Amino acid sequence: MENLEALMHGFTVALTVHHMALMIGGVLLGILVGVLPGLGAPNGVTLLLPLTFTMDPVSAIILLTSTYWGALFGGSTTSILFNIPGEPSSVATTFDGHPMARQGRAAEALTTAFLSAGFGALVGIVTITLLSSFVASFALRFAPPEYFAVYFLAFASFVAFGGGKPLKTIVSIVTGFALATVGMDIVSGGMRLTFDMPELIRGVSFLVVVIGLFGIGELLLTMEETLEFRPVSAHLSPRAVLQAAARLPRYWVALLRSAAIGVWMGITPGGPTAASFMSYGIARRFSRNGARFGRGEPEGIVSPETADHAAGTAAMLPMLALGVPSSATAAVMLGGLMIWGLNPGPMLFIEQRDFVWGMISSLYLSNVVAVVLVLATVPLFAAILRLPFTVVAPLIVVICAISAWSVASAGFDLWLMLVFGLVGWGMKKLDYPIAPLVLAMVIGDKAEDAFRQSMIISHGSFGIFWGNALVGGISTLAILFLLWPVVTLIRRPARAEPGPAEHLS
Amino acid sequence: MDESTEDSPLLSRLALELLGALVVLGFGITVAMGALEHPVAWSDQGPQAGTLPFWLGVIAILASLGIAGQALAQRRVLAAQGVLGRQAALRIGRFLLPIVALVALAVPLGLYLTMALYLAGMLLWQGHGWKAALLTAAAAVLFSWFAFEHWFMLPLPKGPIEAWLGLY
Repeated sequence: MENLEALMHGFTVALTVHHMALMIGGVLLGILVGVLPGLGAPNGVTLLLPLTFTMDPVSAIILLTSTYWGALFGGSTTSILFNIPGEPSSVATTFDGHPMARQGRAAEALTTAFLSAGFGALVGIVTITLLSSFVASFALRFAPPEYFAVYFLAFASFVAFGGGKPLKTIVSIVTGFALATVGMDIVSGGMRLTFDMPELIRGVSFLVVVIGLFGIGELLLTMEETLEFRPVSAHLSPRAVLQAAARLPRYWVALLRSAAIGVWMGITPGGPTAASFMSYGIARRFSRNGARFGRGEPEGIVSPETADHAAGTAAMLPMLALGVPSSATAAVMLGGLMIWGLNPGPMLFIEQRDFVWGMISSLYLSNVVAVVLVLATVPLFAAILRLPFTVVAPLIVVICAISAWSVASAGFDLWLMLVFGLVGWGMKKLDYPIAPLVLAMVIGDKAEDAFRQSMIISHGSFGIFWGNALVGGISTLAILFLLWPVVTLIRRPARAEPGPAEHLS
Repeated sequence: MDESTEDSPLLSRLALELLGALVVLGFGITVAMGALEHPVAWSDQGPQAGTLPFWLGVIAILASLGIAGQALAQRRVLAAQGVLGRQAALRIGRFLLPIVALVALAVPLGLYLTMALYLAGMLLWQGHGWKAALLTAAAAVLFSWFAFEHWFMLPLPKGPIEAWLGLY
């Protein structure tokens, strides 16, 4: 019950007028970001990050997490009303959401989506609340070898379960790591990979890379397809909302199953996008209504939405307790934590109790705020989408340019943004997963430090990674994950690849 | 991908895969070469400064060869898939070139003037008319001026116009 006490304390930290205002502002900004195609949750959080440098950490994390929830909800809105997923993780919502909207059941579809998303998030937060101090006390036994083993495990599980082709995932990870080594090496003091360019001495900021990959890259992809807005009525009558809410408990099996999938995918680095697709696929196979999926079946909205939000929320746990983010957005927030001077990891729970529990309790509040606000503002944001994309896209470009500049006030970063925009477009086209790159950029330095510290302790022997049961177990698991693609290759002899991968993250 | 039927393909999936592998190969070689400026060795202090980047470069090189090999192994299937049509490439180019101009001019002209020119230009070009173009540009400049110079205290790059107006 120690957790409950800490949570109550957290509420006293989070429940101030200032923080509630930040929550409302963050959710609204997030919905806007989520509604606009070409701006996603990782990008939205990245764009706001420079503005938080002067805030105290609790306010900053409340703003960022609220923006994240808002973006997830906003992505579902456009999926249902316009058949345009505002977020990669809400693609699966279009399958049944848009057919329902076209049948004149938009209010029912939206309410079902928001409420099941809220339920998924709630399950995620309760899991965080219950597990966090356990994970943290476990993690207190961590020394450099254990840290390195956990980072290694995070990358290995991307290779095994990330959904991309293993070689492409490896390229993505290696690129992120290589970008992270640019600049001064803190052990030897040497300038690595700077090629005598003064702009590279301070390193390559992951924020600029994210703005390029997700912001400009996404816009280029959207530009490529001629966007056809086929809006349907976005009118929400309170009666339709209540009716849909009353029907929701009927889908309790789907709700619970999807929440479990989401929490699992959130804690392991599957991420929300993979979680929502997996949940939709499993629901279609096992549900009694499976045959009606794809033609406007509410359960086809419940499943991906619940898993999406459960995964997004649960991803906060490994980020806080281990410093290992399991989604691209969590990786950006982790970078924020380090910029604000906090050191993610088990010590955070002891040294920064106010921050950790303030954040966890704010997750409860901001999700309630988000569900209410998103229901209230559907007509408003649907109207924004009637603006032609030829107006919206240049505005997004300007927002990206301003944010890339504000990271370090350097013109060089604008060029980096442009280059990574092209890289992001290519990666999406060729199914190179982007999340591992961001993850490697954020924790690359920490992983290398942990590795070199371990090597200093052990005088260069790898035996230290099997020095005790804990680190040995994690290392062995990581190596098994890394070999996973080989195992599946042997079990399933090479056959023709089934075209471009379905995974979008 | 679901390309529209009228759009004649410009790049096949195979060509783009090979291009991607080539970029990765170039990146890997660059990283490995850059790492060689530092000791790539193992001491009793563990790896030296160049070791990690060097091996990252080597892994990237090997992975790029592997990806190219996989693509070539299925070249018949991949060569038949168009990933980029002519029309789509044109749309991307028309969108991308103005961004290049925006990035190139942002520092010498100042971001405020550049964003105004960019927004007005893009809107005019897309056929939204003078009124919409000027209104959008003016609103964006005024909003970002107040937001960034006053509210967030994050000054954006300024150029001759701001100096001439005596704004800073």
